[in-house]
Amino acid sequence: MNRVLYSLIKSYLNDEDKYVSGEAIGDELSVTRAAVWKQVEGLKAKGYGIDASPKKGHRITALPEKTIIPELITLFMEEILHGKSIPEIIYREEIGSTNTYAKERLLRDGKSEFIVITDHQVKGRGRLERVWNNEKGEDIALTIVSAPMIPSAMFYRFTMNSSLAVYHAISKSITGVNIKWPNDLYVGKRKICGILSEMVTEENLIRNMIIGIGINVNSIRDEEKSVSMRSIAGRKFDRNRIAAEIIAGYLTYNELLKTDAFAEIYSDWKEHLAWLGTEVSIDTGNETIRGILRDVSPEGVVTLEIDGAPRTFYSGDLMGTTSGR
Amino acid sequence: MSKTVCGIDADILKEIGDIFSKTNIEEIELEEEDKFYIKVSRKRPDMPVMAAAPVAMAAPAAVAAPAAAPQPAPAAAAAPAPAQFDNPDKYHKILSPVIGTYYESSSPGGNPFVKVGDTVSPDTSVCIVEAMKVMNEIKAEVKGKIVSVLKTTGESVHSNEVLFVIEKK
Repeated sequence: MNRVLYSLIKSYLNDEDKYVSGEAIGDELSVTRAAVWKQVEGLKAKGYGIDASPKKGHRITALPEKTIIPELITLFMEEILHGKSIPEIIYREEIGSTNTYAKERLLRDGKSEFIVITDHQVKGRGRLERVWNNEKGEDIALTIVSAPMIPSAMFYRFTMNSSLAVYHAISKSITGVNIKWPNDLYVGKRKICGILSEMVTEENLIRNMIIGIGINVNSIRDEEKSVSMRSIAGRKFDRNRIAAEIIAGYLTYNELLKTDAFAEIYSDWKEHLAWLGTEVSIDTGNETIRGILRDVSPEGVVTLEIDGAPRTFYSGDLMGTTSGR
Repeated sequence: MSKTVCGIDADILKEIGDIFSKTNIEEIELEEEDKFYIKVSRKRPDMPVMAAAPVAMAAPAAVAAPAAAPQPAPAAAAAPAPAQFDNPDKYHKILSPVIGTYYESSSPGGNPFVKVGDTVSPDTSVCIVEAMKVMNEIKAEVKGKIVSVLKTTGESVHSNEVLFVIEKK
């Protein structure tokens, strides 16, 4: 994280017109004014609008639109989480897959709780290595890594927490979003967000939970099977704000994971589940079966009513059968 | 400014080449904030030499559609962990922590994480069990040698079902 940028954006969020002196920033960060000046020049080169006045100091006038700003995400998260500790955000302009990168970091650094985010994910992948496309500078591709050390039997709670956090973050801006079991987000029958969860277990405890989230935000996407927030709302959104709300929401839900309050998360999640009580089909890899979606348990097990009898499923592709998109 | 090869300082590349030729090091990784990152590896033939920012890479071609690769079933595959391994001092059984689907490799058709005869350390990944789209990477947990592989890709596994037997070292 760039501490100078953090200080400048913090001041900008409080009062857009206020200047911060190079001396004040230097004192706060224990660096010289010259070092601050050098940083500011570097930021200008990266597309930040910064007004510098010899007497008053520096002031942000414009933030670049096509780059994720981890300092801004951190500030938004601090605002939402009120002083709780914020995990480190690792930003790279381009990454193959944020999940793969996160797993490499887990192996080589000692850290086990962090966020990875990129502007351009070039080898995004879903279940069974299916390709997930992100448009450079327009969409969200992030991974949240945590080290929960709770029984592995509770793993599905992280799936609920992440999909519910995404649901609430994007439902502030667009309507018609639903959660498709087990964890993707759809508008009707069109995908708007994909989540790929990976975990590392050790003697029946979850050592690491790795949640990869890809959202179609500002790309123009109006296809049969996929859609973007921009194509629905007809405008662009601040990806930093959305990312901050998702991460903060997920971390907040995780704190409730082992408490009775999880029942509320579960019922909230189920309320936004797509096609509950209607006919769906499920492709298990071996067969495709139709039935009425009757329930998804807190452990994530699906119950379909088939010819009047219940049948449970642990995995598969589930989709509503109503016509249209 | 010094000469560059594919956007990377030629001196750095030469230095890395020297280290590889003079030592047994398998992997080198250099990083400076978000300005520079390079990882050079000779660990496995399928591990690409990669150079991230500032080198822009072309978008990769679509990944091949997932197809079930033919799995030569190991001799011991069909049988449950036989009684000969029921000696906890000598053998460690890796159990599935969840109900799900077993995968021997990280991608469809990829090389298996481990096979019979492989030496493993506690941190070696041995397989993936998928449940509700959560990929559960399972570690060996002990040091030793794989003596039995009980499942094949695509098979359903129960919670606490034996996946591997390791002869402890």
